[in-house]
Amino acid sequence: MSAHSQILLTSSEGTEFIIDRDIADKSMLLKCMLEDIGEIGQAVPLPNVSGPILTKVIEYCTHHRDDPNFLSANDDVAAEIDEWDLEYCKVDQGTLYELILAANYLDIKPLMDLTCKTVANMIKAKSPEEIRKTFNITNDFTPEEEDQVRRENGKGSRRLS
Amino acid sequence: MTATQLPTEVFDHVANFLALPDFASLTRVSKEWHQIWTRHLWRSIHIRHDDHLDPFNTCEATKSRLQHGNYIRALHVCNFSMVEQIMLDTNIRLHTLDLLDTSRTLGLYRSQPDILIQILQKSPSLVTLKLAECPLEYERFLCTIIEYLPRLKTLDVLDAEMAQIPKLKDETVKTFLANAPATIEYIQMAVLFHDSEDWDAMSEPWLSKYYNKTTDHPALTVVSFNGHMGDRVPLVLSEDFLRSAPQLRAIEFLQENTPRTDWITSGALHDTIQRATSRSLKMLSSPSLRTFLDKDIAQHITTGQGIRDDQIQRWYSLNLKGCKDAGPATSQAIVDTCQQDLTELTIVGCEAMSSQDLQAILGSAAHLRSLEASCIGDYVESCPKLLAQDVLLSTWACRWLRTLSIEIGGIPRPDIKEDQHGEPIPKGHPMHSGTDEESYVIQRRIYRQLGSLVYLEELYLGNSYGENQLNCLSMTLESGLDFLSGLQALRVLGVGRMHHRIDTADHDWMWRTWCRLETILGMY
Repeated sequence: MSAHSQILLTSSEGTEFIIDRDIADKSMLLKCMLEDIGEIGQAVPLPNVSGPILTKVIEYCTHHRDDPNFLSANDDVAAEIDEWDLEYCKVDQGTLYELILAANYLDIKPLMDLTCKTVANMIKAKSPEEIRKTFNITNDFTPEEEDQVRRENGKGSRRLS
Repeated sequence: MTATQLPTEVFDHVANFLALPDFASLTRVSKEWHQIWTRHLWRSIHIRHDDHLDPFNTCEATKSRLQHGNYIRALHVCNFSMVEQIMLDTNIRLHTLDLLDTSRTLGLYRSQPDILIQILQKSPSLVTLKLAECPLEYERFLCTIIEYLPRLKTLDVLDAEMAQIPKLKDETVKTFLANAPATIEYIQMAVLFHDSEDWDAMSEPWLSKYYNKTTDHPALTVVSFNGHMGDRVPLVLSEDFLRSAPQLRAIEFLQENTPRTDWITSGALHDTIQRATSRSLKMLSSPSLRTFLDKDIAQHITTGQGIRDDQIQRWYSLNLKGCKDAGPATSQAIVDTCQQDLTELTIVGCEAMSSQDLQAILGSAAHLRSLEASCIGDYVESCPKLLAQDVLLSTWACRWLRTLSIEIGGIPRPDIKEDQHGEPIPKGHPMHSGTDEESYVIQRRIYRQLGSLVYLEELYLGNSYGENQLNCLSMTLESGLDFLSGLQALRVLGVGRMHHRIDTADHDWMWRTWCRLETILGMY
């Protein structure tokens, strides 16, 4: 049974990871690749993903291994994040962004949704100044420009109509 | 790695989980982020009057629209030719189409029914469809929904002018309900029925090919009819249909805006619901309970439910108005036993009910359509109040609420210098703890909570009797009012006796954003 076969991955530093085929199939990129070329004995190189991030991605896929709703899990935009996922996303911002890029590259939609939702939660209901603080961004608007943008947005609402 | 290094496609994905006011903040963060997030301001277009069209038709706006048109997700517009133009110009994936009162523009979608049908046929991604007027070819419209809108969750065809609603056959409404998209959660529609003798004179029977077909509706929660149903109710809401919709909780009939609950709790429909779902829905009215103690009311609620003769007895409506002693035990009884079937709750005058009790009810009664906690009509001595510190503790479950009257207090308001008697508020008073900005942080979180109640039609935060509210929401954009921009069904807002700071800009925003707003009560 192919579900029990194993796949070899190499991270950007060249570290090798052996994972079960059904875990690899959570990634649409790997799934398509493995379906196209069949199972080759060689390692699949992932030059865009570092070892620690790949470990974290595998942890996610393993936890959700038997999740029947895996692909539609985060479709509901308003739904709360479940406890395990919430705990999983408690990482420093750098790691979170690397995870987003890895999820995007490996095409793992639920992980992409989860991590982007986490970023959205860091933005929601905040003022521009609070957002700057959260993401460590410098305000490079001159006071005149800031005023201009504020007017454009009509005190927080759009001004197109 | 920092957020600023992320590629644009990642920001586009993050945008799926944000709301319009968030984008307004994001565009003000830095020059680069202004570039990245401005396109998302196109997500939702509101044109309530034709006067709003001029800025929209400028060269600059048109250029920007053509460039960012694929970010448009929602149209709330009164001008039908505008919709047509937008749909033609750009390849958009519309989630929400909300056609407002078109009488000002000569009812274009009435006179050109084909265009409405074509627009629906081109919008398979529609999740919300709202029409302020019934389309002329009503049956064809319903047929198009079945055939072209596989993702539809909310359908709202509420016509204020009952006389103009094209008549339907009972069979047509029944067939539409049986075959509505499987994703549907909420159906609100105006209905007038043909008398059986004029069936011959009817238009083409578009739905006849579906007469013997059905679809399951696992997510359907609310069905609300407006119009003259009379004795057709059991014909339209069949046992089979009720079985196909196990989540259906609120079944409403509005006749001239008065809900008819008795149809659910007794009579033919009650028996149909009982046969189909083994639930017997009941209502409780307060006069006899007014002198009861908290624990006795709680016991009455708890023992009134349960299994009898294989039927599950459930409260559909609880009216505890004037039950002064109803407090923690009563609210606990509601939380424990009424999470699923309770759709109407009145706790006006339940003065023993604390803020935590209220929050517990809001956090658990998932299918409430109406919650009356503060007095909006006749005089009642004292009402339960919700305090900010409790609102912020947990998320509300009651996302289907249509009517909410509640006083929310406990918000520090350093901008208020005098109390209701004109006396200066002393130093160190809790009203003055913290700065304006800290007050806004709290207010924004309350607005967010309120803003998630997207089916709200009537929201009364003020009251018509009793003391002025001092530590209430300021109701200004500065304090985060724009987080209520999602309340697109809102018709009535009550702010009476609130120490709000609504000025012209806030007032304009309300009328521009809430496209269906009819009145703001107690502005002055």
